[in-house]
Amino acid sequence: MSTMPPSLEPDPGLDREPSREPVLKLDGTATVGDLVLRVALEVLPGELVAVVGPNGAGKTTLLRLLAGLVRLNDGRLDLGRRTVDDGSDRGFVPAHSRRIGWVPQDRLLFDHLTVAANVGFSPHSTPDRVDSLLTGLHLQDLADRRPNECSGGQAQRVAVARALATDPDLLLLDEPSTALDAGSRRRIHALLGNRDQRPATLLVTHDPAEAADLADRVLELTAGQIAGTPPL
Amino acid sequence: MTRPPNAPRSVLVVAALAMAFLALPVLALLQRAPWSGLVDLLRRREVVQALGVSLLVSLTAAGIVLVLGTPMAWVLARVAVPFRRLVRTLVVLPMVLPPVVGGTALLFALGRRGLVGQWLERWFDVTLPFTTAGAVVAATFVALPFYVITVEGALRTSGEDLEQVAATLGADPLTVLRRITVPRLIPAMGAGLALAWARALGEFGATITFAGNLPGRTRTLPLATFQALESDPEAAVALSLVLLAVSLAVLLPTRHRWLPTR
Amino acid sequence: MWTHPSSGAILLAVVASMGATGCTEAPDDTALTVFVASSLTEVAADLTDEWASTSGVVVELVAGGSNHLAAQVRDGAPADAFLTADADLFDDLERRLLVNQATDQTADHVPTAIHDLAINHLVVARPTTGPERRPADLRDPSLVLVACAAGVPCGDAAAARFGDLPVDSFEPSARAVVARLALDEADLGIVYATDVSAHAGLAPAWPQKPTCPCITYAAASLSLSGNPFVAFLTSDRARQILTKHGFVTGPTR
Repeated sequence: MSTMPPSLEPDPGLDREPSREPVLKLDGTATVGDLVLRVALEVLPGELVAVVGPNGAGKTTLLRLLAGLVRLNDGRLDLGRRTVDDGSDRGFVPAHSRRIGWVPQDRLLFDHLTVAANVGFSPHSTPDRVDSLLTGLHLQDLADRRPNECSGGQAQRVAVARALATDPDLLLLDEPSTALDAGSRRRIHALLGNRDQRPATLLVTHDPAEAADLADRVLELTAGQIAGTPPL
Repeated sequence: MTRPPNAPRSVLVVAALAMAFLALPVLALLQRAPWSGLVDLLRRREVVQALGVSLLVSLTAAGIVLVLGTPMAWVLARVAVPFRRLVRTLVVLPMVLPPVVGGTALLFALGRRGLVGQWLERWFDVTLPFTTAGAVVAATFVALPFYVITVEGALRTSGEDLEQVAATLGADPLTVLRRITVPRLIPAMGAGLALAWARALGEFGATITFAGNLPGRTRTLPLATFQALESDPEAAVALSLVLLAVSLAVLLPTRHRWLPTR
Repeated sequence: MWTHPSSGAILLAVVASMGATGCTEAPDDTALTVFVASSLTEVAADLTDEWASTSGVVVELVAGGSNHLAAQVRDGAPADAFLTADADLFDDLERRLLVNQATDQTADHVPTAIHDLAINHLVVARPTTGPERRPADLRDPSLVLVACAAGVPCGDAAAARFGDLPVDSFEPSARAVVARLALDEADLGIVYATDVSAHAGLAPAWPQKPTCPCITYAAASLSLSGNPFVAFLTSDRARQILTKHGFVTGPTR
């Protein structure tokens, strides 16, 4: 079923604890325009996988595929314990039914809502969670402000908080640290660095230092295919 | 007035001419107005009646446009409808059609012997021509495209990005519509509605052809003005002023909604 | 102030015998513009065809509601002749023409006017596909009745003859009333006798005799070139055509 060359497949011999089932299991193909994405990938709970690669390689498309905004042509995508996409119409679980948090490259905050309303937007969020996230990311003072009143760094933190508030199985970050000041970057890294409290995370980044700092694994995506190190 | 540094004089001149062209008829109307006897003219039964009919018809038509037009705009912008281009052409058709032709077509469709109209009469005892409802139908027909085009354009420009993010955060399609799409669409809806209402208010050809012309029932301000022009020009001017005043009264306070400033 | 539609060099041959007095300038052109009340559309076409074959002058017809056309003429539309059903309108127009002629030195046109060109009667009509009616039905509010608007000749005549009626729509011209009946969108309509005889879709609502108050048509020339045509309208040939269409022509001048 897998179409990847054997050396790049997840090592079947890896010792896995029974409770550490992968949150994400992907093995399939998706086509968007000229790009053909062909990926096999697994992510364990709490694991942070960095995805690097040149522009146009398909990094954002990969995240969108996992988020449910792009569909598989064939193959299979499992999130949590269920199959959310098997290439068929019937087997496709739409975005709003998946427990993922997506922080897009453009952040895409809701301008017509306050920061607090943004963070608490998801029906899965709870007021407690929202409060702790606002506090944890130092956003309490901005709670009643609008996104357009926030600086770049603040807005980025709001976007991350918003995604985390959904209590996702999988967190998807698309270049979260680009053009951020050092302080904001540190805060986000602190949040992401907390292994016990973070969900399985895919982090698209241009910064090799960031990847090295935070990631358990680094995947290199080129022209829609992974050419990177096998899992540790 | 200081000239902006990059404004070529020729452009300013042409713009000034264009403004004069638009303003001139209005100024001529104001100049011809019988200001001394105006109050009496305005109190005349036929003027008050026509105003009442116009407001009732145009506001009702605007309401229907809002209810019918919003889903239509949304579908056109977001759903891959088969023959989308054809559908969009149909939507624009009433804008391009001469109003009298539109009214005649409505007659063929919804008149007493019309394609659908005959069933309306036979089964529900409902006739539309010669009724205020008929005037509303005519006004809605010509006004709907203005709203749909405005709102659909806004939807397509704003894109689906925010709606997609909302979906990934767990909001189902209806929630996305309610909490993201519509709140962001309000300015465009307001603009479209203002345009549609203004069009409905000024509608003449389709109204007189489909709904007819009866004081108190179907004689709107434009119809009354047309009639007065031939027999009582002073009343015609008074009616024109009323139309102008009503239009300004609604469009000026809402201009920040529909005028592309900022 | 009166604009001649075109300035050709061809003279009309039959001017002198047609009674155009006091005109020193030779009329121009081979083309005329004639405004006619809409109820005269068909008969005017025949009249102008006849005139074209007789005199070689081609006539462009503009038909419309009398008031509407009169307003255009007042505003200076380039018409050579005007045929209308509204007597008051006509008198008003005539007065203006004479006044203008008196004040404007360059205009030396004396309008030729005919006050009783033809008569048309009003008929209460129904769609041919509709049932026969009775006079009492005219006041029945449950029936759809259409008539011409006040200020339009057929509307004023109808009001003079029938008084207040439960009209459902006041149309801007008799033609519009005809259209409503022809489409079977109305049960009864007050139209001209000529409309009923010309249109297969219309029939008298009940047997009716020609009655007045009725419509009298008048004609006037608005420019030198129009004189011959207007004079032609009183000729025997013209009267024949009018009668054929159902108009009643006045006594011979």
